[in-house]
Amino acid sequence: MRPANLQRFFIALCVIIIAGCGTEAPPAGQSPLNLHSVDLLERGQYLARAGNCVGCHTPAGAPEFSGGKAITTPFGIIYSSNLTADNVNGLGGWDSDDFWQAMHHGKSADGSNLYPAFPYPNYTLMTRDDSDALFAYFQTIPAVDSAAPDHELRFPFNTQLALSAWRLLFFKPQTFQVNSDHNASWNRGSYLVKGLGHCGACHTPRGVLGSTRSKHELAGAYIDHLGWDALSLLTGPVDAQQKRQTVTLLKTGVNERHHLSGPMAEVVFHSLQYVDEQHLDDMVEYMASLPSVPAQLRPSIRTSQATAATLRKEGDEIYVEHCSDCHGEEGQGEPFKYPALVANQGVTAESPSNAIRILKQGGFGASTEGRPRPYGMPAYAHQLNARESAAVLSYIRAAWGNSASAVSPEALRRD
Amino acid sequence: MNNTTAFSAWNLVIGIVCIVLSSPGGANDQLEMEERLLACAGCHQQSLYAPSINGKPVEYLYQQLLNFREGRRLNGTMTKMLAVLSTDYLHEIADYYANIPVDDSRRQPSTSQQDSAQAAMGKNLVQAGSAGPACVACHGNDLRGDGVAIPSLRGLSAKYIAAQLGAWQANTRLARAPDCMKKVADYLTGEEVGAVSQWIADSFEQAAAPLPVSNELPLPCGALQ
Repeated sequence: MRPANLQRFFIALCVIIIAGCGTEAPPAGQSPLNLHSVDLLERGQYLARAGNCVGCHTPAGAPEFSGGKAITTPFGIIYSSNLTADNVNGLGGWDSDDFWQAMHHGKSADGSNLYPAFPYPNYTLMTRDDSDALFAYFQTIPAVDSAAPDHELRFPFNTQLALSAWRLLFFKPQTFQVNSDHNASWNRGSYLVKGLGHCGACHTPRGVLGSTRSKHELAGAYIDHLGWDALSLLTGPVDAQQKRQTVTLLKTGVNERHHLSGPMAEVVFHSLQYVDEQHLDDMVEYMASLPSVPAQLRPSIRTSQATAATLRKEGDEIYVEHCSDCHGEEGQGEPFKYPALVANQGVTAESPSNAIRILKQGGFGASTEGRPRPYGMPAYAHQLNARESAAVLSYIRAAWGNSASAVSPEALRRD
Repeated sequence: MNNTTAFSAWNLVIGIVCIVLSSPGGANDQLEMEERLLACAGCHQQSLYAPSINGKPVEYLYQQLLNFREGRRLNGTMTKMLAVLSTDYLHEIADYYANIPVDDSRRQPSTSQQDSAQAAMGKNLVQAGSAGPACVACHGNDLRGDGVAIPSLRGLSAKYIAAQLGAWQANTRLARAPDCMKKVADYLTGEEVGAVSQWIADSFEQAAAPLPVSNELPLPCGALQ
């Protein structure tokens, strides 16, 4: 073959390969996210936001990504690392291979094992091009020369040997595989939920050694150090309207009937409000397709039927006095202002932990571009005692067609 | 009509137009903000455990909201409440409360047991200072603050003032560096904290005697830079 023909042959081959790739099945190492036309640094910033890196790597009031935030685990305290371009304490001395080794293999630049509080069991699914974009973005973060404190972990969890053993039991580097039984949206959703978004870090219960339990994946978990339940994400099939409402909730923190509170409001504030609506739609598409598996929440403190009936009766009066002005006489709320309490998973979930949290400490929804001036709920911890709080929650959880269990006053003392 | 009268009339018209244009939204906006901020009212309008924030200077309130959100001022409830609110919204919240008239009905009358030596110590610290600057040097000779960024001390209870000075000393109430009030508080002994707090609370009952005061602050304050 003459050189000119050879050249034509290769061009043709490239065209065939590129055409064959399409959007349905990107080649290995190429992101399933449809962001290839976006500038590298912009893509890196987008991925950093979608992965909520700030959530762990920026302590309150500190410069962005400067690390040192304390992450409480059952094994002790881990301090997040500095991701700025600082040569000594940050990622300034790293190259994209080092970064890939951390994301994909869970190992630091010096080869030491990283703690899985850094969710590399999720990030391992990220593609190399996304890892490179993220790294390129972090290299542009102005250097901050603050070193994270040493982790405060109990023996043996503070040893590299323990981490090696943990990896042997619970970790294998994985590559994201496009599932051709599903459409491109589902695949993007799967990549975002299981990989970059690391939703399971909170929403999947963990075993005694801190690994997520695949049998209960995304079925909901109690987060001990926060005192909140991460609710089940296994919604079951959703229609177009429910899908749109869920996307609105994730994008703005609010929809017609729901407000996100507590740690999930922080996820909206730092991360989800910046995620493209198409990608949120993809995530809902993926989650709605998952089969239902049992949750593994904390056991609730139960009451007798007679106590439950008394509590609900007392709670009715408290509701009228303190709650009905905003949440309505029928618990219907007011769209985008005050959440509905009827048929609201946050209220009627099997575990009352979140309802207790919200009643006691109140809170605002997240300021987002779509809803920059959120409404807030007052804290009632200093207005209602344990008995009164249990009564009003017991009432709400069983009124207007709700059918959740009564809340024991003991639960108010525990939570 | 002579020129002077015309000039005054125009001044009046321009003045009214300016006031109308600069007024912070109509009654509807105020009502809407009240609904949005029920979470704040839950404590600050009723509880004995949270101070009244009505009518405090806008920049002062804004700096405190930032200090809580960013962990310089420690209060779990406040930090949780503000963690997910944007900087713009915090400023709007500060503006809303700054424009509500001060609520004197919640003020507890001072029931002072201060003896004359303590009162003299308190008065001297407020008006002349000792190792550190005098209160009046920043908060004004009538302790009414500057209306923008430095709060009034009038009408605060002795317990509240002492608790704040103690919080600065214990690093649970800090501001952006350089933290001038932290510096001032650190100059004070425990006895002085008690004396100055009580004297300020008592002085609300008395007419303030104006003292000359310079326009420049004695210490640099990060929040005012």
